[in-house]
Amino acid sequence: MTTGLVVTGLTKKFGTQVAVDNVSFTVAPGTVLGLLGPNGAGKSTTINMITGLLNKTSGRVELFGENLTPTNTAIRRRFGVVPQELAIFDDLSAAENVRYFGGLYGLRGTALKTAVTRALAVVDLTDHANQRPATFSGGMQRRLNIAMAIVHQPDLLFMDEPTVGIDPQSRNYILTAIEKMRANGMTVVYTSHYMEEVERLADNIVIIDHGQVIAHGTEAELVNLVTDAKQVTIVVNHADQLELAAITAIAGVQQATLHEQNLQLVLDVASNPLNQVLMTLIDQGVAVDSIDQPKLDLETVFLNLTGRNLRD
Amino acid sequence: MTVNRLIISVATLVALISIAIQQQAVRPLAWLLASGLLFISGQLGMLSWPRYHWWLGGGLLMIQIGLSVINSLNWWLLPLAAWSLMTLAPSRWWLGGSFTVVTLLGVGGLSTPMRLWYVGWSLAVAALAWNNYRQRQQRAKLLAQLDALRVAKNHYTALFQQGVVNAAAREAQATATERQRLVHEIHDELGHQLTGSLMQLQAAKISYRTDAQQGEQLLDQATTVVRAGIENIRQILHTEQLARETVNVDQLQGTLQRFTDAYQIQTNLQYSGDLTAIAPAQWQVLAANLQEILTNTLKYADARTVTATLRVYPQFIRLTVHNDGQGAPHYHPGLGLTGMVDRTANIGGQVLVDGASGFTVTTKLPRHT
Repeated sequence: MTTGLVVTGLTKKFGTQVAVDNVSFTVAPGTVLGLLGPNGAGKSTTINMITGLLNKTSGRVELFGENLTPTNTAIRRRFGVVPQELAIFDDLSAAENVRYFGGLYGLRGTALKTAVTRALAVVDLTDHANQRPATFSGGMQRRLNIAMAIVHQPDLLFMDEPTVGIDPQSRNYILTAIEKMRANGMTVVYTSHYMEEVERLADNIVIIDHGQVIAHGTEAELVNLVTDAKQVTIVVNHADQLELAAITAIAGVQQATLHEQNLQLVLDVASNPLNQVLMTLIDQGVAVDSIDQPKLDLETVFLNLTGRNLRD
Repeated sequence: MTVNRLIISVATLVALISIAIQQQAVRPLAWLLASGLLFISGQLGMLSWPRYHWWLGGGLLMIQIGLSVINSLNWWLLPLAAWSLMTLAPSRWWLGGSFTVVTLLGVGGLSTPMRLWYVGWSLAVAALAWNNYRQRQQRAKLLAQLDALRVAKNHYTALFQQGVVNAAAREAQATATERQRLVHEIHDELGHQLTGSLMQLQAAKISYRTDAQQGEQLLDQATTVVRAGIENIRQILHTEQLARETVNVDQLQGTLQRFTDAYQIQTNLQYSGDLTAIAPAQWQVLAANLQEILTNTLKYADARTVTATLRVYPQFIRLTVHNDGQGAPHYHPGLGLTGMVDRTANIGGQVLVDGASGFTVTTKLPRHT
């Protein structure tokens, strides 16, 4: 079985300050891992240690079954990094920037040419290939930065806050590009303090705070950490025919109240009796108008885990 | 060390003065006495005014060199002056440099037969200075080790005390739990049994009425005894219930209330969820962490309000204690915080410390189902 990325006990100390404290997680091949946490939580430090930009105090990083060390170049060719700070030559055109980085990874001749074209296409910059990045918007520069990281077709891509401070359109381009890359089988490790992005992209989420992993799992698993009940509001017609007692009698219904046309329910997450509730309503001759189920977002999960807000 | 140097300086002066007296050379004697007094007062000056010791030491050396040119016996004092200057910036380079310069100067200034003796004298003083320097270094090293050991000792003492306190609390907890179990058992089983026997006795009394009067009396007595027994158990139950000592949310509340009463810092505790899911060992950790945070709040925060939130979630338990004080984005974890982290990690939990706005410490414990 091929393993993706396995991080074990990663720790970074700056003097007495522990920036990253015994962080462990795994990323299965072909999945997107979202590293979510507030600014200064240690996300970038973690990425920098994994990619070798920063020496780790202790811990172990394994990529595709091999120990990832600064000298293991064969395995290092298999990942790409999109750093938080732009790394672009303003005096080269977009295509030349990408070509330069492709060259660094050992691509030559026609292979390099196709790789550059493909990388620019992924981030929708084909029309701007021969322009200088100095004339680009912030979002376009970010996209170019991504193209430079994927030109050698890595199996794993690290992206450190690739959408900070850019316009919504570019953000959407980038998120779509990531979805495309995942569809092509690329593994992505993605850091962000925007929970909407993580919710949209990530198969698995690791929540980091003050250098510690405080929770990890799928979005649903994380939500289940903090609540075992969900609220559902069903708007009904012919509310006068509704027998509340029959609804309350359904196993898994913790609470049911009726305010005019709004049937408000508190349901067990585990047994989720929504189906039975609907069938009972239909049996009673009550027409269901709409169902509203406010989603518990990761922001709320973070608040419940730490007692603090994700963003101040 | 300084005393060593002074003793050798005085001894050297005495020797030189004796030589001058023996040679019946009045002028050199006068010079020697003057320079000797100057030398010693300079040395004492360096001790008294450490701020100016460079000026004093350098001046002394210069004056000594000048005096040596006028009066050849003074050359012999020069290595001693170099030594005193060397103590200010102890390093092998200073030692080597200053003694080389002093030796060369003396060799240049003295007549041929004396040169060899002077080199010997200078080397001897240099050796003494070197030995002195090494001893100082060793002493500094030992002192540093001593300090490190003291810190380690304090750390382990604190941990040990923490352990003792925890153990004592655990024991108290266990006693309370056991006592409660007894209370319930007495109430549920023994109470019912006794009530049952009372009814049987009463029934027996009715059925044996046709028999002897003596039997009736005995039965009456038995009834009295059983009644007294039930009354006793009631009393026991009553007192036992008062003595319930479980560490619980009331205790957290109490800790906060005492803190408010003592230091006029407003506190409040909010809690929600199924508090019975919190195990005794977890209550211990929560209570100890709360106490530690309150102590730190008092020591560092300059806060007006402390808010504690205890929540039980489906899969974990969280206690967040926040104060609205000055915060500390770059705090240094001390013994208290380290103890808190250790104690929490011991039962599989995490401590998150945030000093960005006010100060927030979150204790997160796994919930055992």
